[in-house]
Amino acid sequence: MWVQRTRDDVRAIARYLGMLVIGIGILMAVPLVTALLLQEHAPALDYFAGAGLAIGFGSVLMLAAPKRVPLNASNGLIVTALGWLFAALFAAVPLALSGHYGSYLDALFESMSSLTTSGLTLVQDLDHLANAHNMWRHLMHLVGGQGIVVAVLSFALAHGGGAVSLYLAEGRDERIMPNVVNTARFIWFVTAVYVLLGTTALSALNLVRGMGAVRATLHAFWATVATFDTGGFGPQSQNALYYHSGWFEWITTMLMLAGTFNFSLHADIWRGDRRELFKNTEVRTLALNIFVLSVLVSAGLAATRAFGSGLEVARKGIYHVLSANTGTGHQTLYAVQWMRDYGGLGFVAVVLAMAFGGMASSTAGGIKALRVGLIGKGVVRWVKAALAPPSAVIVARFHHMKSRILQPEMLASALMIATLYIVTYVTGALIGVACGYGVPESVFESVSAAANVGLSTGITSPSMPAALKVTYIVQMWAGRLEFIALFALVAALLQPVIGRRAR
Amino acid sequence: MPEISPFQSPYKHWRSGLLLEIVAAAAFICLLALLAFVLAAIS
Repeated sequence: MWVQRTRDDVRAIARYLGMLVIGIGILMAVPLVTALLLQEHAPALDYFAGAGLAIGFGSVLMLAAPKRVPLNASNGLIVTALGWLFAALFAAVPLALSGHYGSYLDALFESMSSLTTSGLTLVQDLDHLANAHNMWRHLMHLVGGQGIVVAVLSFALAHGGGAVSLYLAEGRDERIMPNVVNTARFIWFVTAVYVLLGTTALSALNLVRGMGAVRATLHAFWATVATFDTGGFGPQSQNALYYHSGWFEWITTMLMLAGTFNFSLHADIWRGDRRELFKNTEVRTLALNIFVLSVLVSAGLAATRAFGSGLEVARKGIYHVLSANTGTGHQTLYAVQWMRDYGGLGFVAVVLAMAFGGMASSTAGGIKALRVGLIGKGVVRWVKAALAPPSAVIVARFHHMKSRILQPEMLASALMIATLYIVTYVTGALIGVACGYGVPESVFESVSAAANVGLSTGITSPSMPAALKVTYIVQMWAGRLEFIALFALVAALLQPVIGRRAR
Repeated sequence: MPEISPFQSPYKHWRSGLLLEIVAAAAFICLLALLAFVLAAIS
């Protein structure tokens, strides 16, 4: 049976969307203040215009739905799916006005990439982009990484009933604390601690290496946010390669691993349960995954001899496995080197690392280590059951915050979402091939978009076809929401048709 | 070691928890780097 949405449902959805769009407008105060402090007058006007439009539109939506109506789980999915789209649409306005994007579609691509912490970019002349615009690009990583709907609304919904629906709809299925708003605040606390540590360390490094104080601090903050939130943007067109620093790579790999940690795992370890770090099935799966793929990449790079010493193999190989597996997307290679210097084995390993992704309930994308671990345990149970006598009861256990029995519905859910990711990866690759690009590059770029990674072989550029830009926007959006919210939106939009057929 | 209640505040041991995470991440990255060195050396 398909749920009929009433006028009250539409009002509730409009009201929450209005709040979210106003929140995006208020957030633009940060780049606006940055522009004013750094005397960037033209960008300041872009943010005045962007904030005015967002706050105006959001207010109209809220006025159109003045009644205070609660948000149920079904409507929460619609608000989440539309919320990410509306946020990207309005966040793109100041970027489109900056003159650094070929069209509004390019700016929308950038804002969706930023909010979903993907890191693919269509900006032109990034090296001369105003600090205010860079602040906005990285701030969107920060807000998107926390879960934009909950992040923006966690303050507004302190006593509201809609927070739970929105939290669950954003692909976060674990509650760290009994109250969702307190959970959102703990997520902000973890982020603040790591951002403070990372910014301090990278600022010191930049200062030692000769940057001015303001530039050193801004670069450090942006790099930290882009890394901990597994986003991958950078203020320079060469991305992480710009810094040419082993220390930069060391600090950012630490932040990548911290960013890909499940927030429930942070909470459990910060409660004092240190054993969880070593017993957790998701940690073990991710560690094994990274280890095996690192062996493949190192062996592949050693065979090509393109990078010479062991240190270079580590810096060009391990760095990219971690960047891909955690969903960060920082790269210390030129785009052309993926096809020219990396070799087949390393290339495939990096694609697999992107496809698998980091931990669930983190800022990472992809299938997620917990699902990969559960599918692996399901396969082992299946083989054991096939070899055991018919009367034997075979039970698979896994450890995730506590010891659990692998239930058939958990396995089915993990397999279903993994299948949807694979279908999305393949669809994007087929569209890339249809647009005239080679198969390996198309697969690489499609997986990078859908798994919210951001590594690029060079397909993602302002000159790529508009159809491919739209494809990657949808892939980033769907991948970040883990499909269900987007499917709920499509079902709601098609409801008048499919509802009539069902009758 | 006594069981840790899931209702216990996650702010209680956050400094030692953070330190453990940093040390574990650093050790893991060192292991991977060592692996790359060994594979580069033997190939």
